[in-house]
Amino acid sequence: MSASRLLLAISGLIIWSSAFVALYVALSVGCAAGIHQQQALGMNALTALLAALILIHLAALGGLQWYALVSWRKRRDPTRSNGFLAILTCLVTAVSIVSLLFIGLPVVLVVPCV
Amino acid sequence: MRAPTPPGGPVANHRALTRIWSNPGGFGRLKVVNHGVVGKRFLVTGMLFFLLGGLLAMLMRAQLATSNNAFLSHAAYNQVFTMHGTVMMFLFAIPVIEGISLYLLPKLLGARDLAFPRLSSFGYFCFLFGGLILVGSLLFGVAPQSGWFMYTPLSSSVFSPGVNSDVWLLGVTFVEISAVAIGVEICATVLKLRAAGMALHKMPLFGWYMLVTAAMIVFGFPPLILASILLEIERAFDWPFFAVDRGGDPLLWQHLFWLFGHPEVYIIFLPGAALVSTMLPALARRPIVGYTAIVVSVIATGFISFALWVHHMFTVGIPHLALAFFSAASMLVAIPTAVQFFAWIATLWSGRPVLRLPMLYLFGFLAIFVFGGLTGVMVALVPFDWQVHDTHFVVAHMHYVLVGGFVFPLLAAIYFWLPQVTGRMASERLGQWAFWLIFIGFNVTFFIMHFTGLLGMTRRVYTYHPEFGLDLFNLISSIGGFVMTMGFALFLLDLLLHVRFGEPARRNPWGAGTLEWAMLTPPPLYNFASLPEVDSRAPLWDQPELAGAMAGGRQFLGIARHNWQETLAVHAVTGEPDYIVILPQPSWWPFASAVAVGVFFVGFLFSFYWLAAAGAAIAVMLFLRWGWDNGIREDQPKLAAGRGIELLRHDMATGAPGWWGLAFTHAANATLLASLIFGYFFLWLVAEVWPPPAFIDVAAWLPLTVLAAMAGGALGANRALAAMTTAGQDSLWLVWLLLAAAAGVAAAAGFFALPIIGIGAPTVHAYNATVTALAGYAGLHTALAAVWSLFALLRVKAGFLSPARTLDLQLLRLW
Repeated sequence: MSASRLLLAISGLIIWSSAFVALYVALSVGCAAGIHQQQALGMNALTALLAALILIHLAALGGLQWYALVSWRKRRDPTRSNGFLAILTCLVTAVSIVSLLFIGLPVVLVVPCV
Repeated sequence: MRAPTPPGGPVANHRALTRIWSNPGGFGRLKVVNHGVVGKRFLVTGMLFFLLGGLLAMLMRAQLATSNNAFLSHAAYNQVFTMHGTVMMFLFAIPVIEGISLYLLPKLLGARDLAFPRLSSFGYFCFLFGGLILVGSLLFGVAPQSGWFMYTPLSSSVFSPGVNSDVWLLGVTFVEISAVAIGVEICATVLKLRAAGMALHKMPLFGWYMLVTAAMIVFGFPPLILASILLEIERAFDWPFFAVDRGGDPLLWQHLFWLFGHPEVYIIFLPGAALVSTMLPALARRPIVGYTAIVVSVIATGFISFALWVHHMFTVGIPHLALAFFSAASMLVAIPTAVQFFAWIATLWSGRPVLRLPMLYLFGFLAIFVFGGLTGVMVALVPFDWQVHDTHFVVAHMHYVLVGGFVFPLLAAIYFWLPQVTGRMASERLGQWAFWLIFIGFNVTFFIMHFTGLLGMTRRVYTYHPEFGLDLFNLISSIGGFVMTMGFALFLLDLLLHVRFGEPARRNPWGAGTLEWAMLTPPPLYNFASLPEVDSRAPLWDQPELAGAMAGGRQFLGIARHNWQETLAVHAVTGEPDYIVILPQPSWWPFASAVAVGVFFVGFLFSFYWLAAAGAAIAVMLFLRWGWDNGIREDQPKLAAGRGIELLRHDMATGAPGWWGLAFTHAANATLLASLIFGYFFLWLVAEVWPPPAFIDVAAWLPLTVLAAMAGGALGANRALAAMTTAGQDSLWLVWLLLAAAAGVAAAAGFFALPIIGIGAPTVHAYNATVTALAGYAGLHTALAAVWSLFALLRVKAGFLSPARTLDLQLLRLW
């Protein structure tokens, strides 16, 4: 088993970090570029863009969670390294999903660029 | 498998190991690299700086005790509060954390030393010299005076024309080199230098906490190092990174500072929590509850803490939605912290706690930190933060978090591990008096300060009018501050007295389950006579025969040989034995290199740039000479490691500690580059005076040549490694290394030429300055690639490399 499994265990939070940076950058650039003054999909275009970024990252996290659960079912023994890392991956990814939903919630509640 | 007792018996083995691991005396002490000695140096020096920081705090409280007080002038007060924060953050908290880690980690993990003992010695001297530059400035009245976060433009040359800001920028950067070095050290050590069988899930929680903390240092400190470099360049050479009239922006400083500054809070808290999680099982006499949940929480805290930095900037005027992202993340981070709290409470609840002295301090921690956490959630709410921003409410909150989250666990830890370090117990009675004075004094000082802040008293103001009605609040805070100081004085007295009068400690006085209590006290420099094979998180509880087997030399590496200082490296995840690390002996190189780096900083401080350049050049030469000593000139077969197994030594193995060290150093370096690129785009997007007068304009051949040179360098490094691996000295390694060196020189020349040819002077506009800085960064790194290539070439010539020994070329390829 390679040390890269340790990297896999924390990759949920790496994806969460990517989402956070993407949201902040997209909001900053979007406001400067005036995207918020346009409409898309019946809503503020910048809100739509931010929501899309959240969904893309959620999809990545969902895929990772599925993979982590499959791995965990195969290696249920938490007293062995790979079993522990499988549980760790599941839990970290679950935390990442909840965290992304929590920080993403303001996107649908707050008007951008105000 | 039971290994034989070493020839000559355990006593002869102990004597041989003592001789091999002995340290020089006299001036030779400057050569010492042993983790126990260097760790204690960090701790003692950090505590001395703590005393200085406390003294500065007393000066502040004396000044603020009454309104319109003339005890300190406003200029002196500015220096005092700036240095109080600077000393406590950079010279006390972080170095003491590093000292504890350096001292404890190998002992807890079942190793004889750290991965890079000379690097930690170098880190200590960088910390010491940087700290002396900072505190020395107090003696000459030129101490930094712009606050410990040095906001521009207050710290820029227009409003701080003296040397004060330079002292901070250069002194703190010097200290941060130390922090990053120790961060790299800790990461590599935790991942590789553990006891056999200590898979990640059997590692003491202290290891997890310090791995995450060290990674946070590696990623968190470079933004501030970059910010300090940029501001120092602006002050020295007038490159306008932060000057609004020429395309700069002071908010860039705030972003870079807080990109470091908020993770810093958790870099301080997590080691405090690590100490709690390590002591609590021993004091509650049961394993920690929720090991896996704590590991997840610590990792989550490490990540989320990087997404909070803008909550220090809620009042600068950014869109509400952006504020909401950071507000949400600020509330979110409370959850993993709460998980740890519940785990600790559950451990106490379900255990059989002993109410000894360390436990008293842990109760103090639990009470104070919870309160600080609650006010933290309050200031995470944007509307509330707007009301209390820059008031004493924030000062109170910050002290509840930092003193509660780190100082109380630290005091508990000192009482807990003192018998391990000195072999003697401190006085319970003095310790209890000290606790109550500190606990009551702290709360009297800072609880009421919340109300002082809510009433509108701003921080960093040297006095206030009597009609504000703040006199009584401030007087109470000052009285509390002096009571707390008496408590710390009593604590110090207890420490000093225990050395002479403390009762000798019995072995493992707290009944702990971790490996540091398996050794003699005070511990020998080699830690363990043989290195254990563990199969649980609390080996001393679950493997009662282990301590005897280790002392008897019947575990791994139990035989002293060849004057080698040996320890075991394991697989990073599974803990299976991987190879034997032959550790370096005491050396002058770390001290000499730190002196050379100090010459660079002092030269810059006094604007003797020729001296700074000489210091940098000498430092590079000393680093190369230091590196020359590493390695062997002949292939060696596997060595007996004990318990019937044979392992390669690290020079012959793949994934040697050096590779891990450089990988983490690259991570820090990449973060610095990413911060610089962030700065470029930030100014582009936000700064007022953009676009610049002209964008870069060069003929296409120049950047294409630079790219081709970089590709050639990468090809040369890759092919040299492949050639050496397959055919050794008979291959074309010389051609490939010469290609890599030549390509590095060409690329560096191109990068340095780009801004000279393509844009105007860097003083004209922040765009010019940023592009020149980026090109300079790339030029410096490609020039260093050429130096490393030539160095590798000389090493091959000298016989340090063979198909089985290719670490130098692996490192060159990684670069």
